[in-house]
Amino acid sequence: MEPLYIELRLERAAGLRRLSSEAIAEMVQAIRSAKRLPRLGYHFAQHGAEMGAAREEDYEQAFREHLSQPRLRVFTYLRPRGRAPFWELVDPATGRTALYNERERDAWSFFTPTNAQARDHNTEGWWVEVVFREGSWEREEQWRWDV
Amino acid sequence: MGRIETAELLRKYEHYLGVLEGWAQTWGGGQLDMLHSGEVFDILWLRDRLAEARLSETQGRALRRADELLIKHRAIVAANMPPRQEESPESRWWWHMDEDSVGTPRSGAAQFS
Repeated sequence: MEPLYIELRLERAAGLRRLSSEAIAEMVQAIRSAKRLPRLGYHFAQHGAEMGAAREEDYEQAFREHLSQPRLRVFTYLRPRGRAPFWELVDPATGRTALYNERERDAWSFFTPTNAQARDHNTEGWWVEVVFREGSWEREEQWRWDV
Repeated sequence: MGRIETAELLRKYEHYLGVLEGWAQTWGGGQLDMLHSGEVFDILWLRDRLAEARLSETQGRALRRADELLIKHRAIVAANMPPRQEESPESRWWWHMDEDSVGTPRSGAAQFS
């Protein structure tokens, strides 16, 4: 892993340490409550077909349904450019992924990587996972995609 | 993940870049946000697989056209680079688009291989 991404992970983990479990829960809930995707036309053009969506409305509906899935894995990281904090909610069964920009407080994108496993391996040294365990949210810095 | 046919890899690579090209003129400000790191990883992963594939002449021409779009929009790619793969030599220029000295294909017939 390149040093920049290790540094970003450490900085993100430090930021999470300052957040209570309740604050993380509020953030996750805010993401799961997202209803709309900005720049919908563009994201639909890029990813509508891979979601089996014939219309923009179908694509956005798939986005909302994805966010309602109970078994999503929740990751967060700092984007190198501007160190904006991002969140990604990933369905481990399908690879479908919703992105959320914490700084903008808005959903960002919804897509499925062609090879979800390769993509997630690529991020293992960069992202931090947050997991709900024994009643509270905790950060997991040394997560692995294959569990 | 099952094996993906070369034609499908190429179709997805062309699609990403074709949509990017089509929307870039109307995007307005914040153009660097047209891709995120997950999409850039996808594009570069597809390009890796295409580099390993045996392409027909028609597919080779299509790949060159798509590569030209990748280079045209390199600022957007470079701004959203994911961690570099350990096995990314400079010949795989698409993984080095955020570097000044590399990140474009060498001249000559093999430039897009």
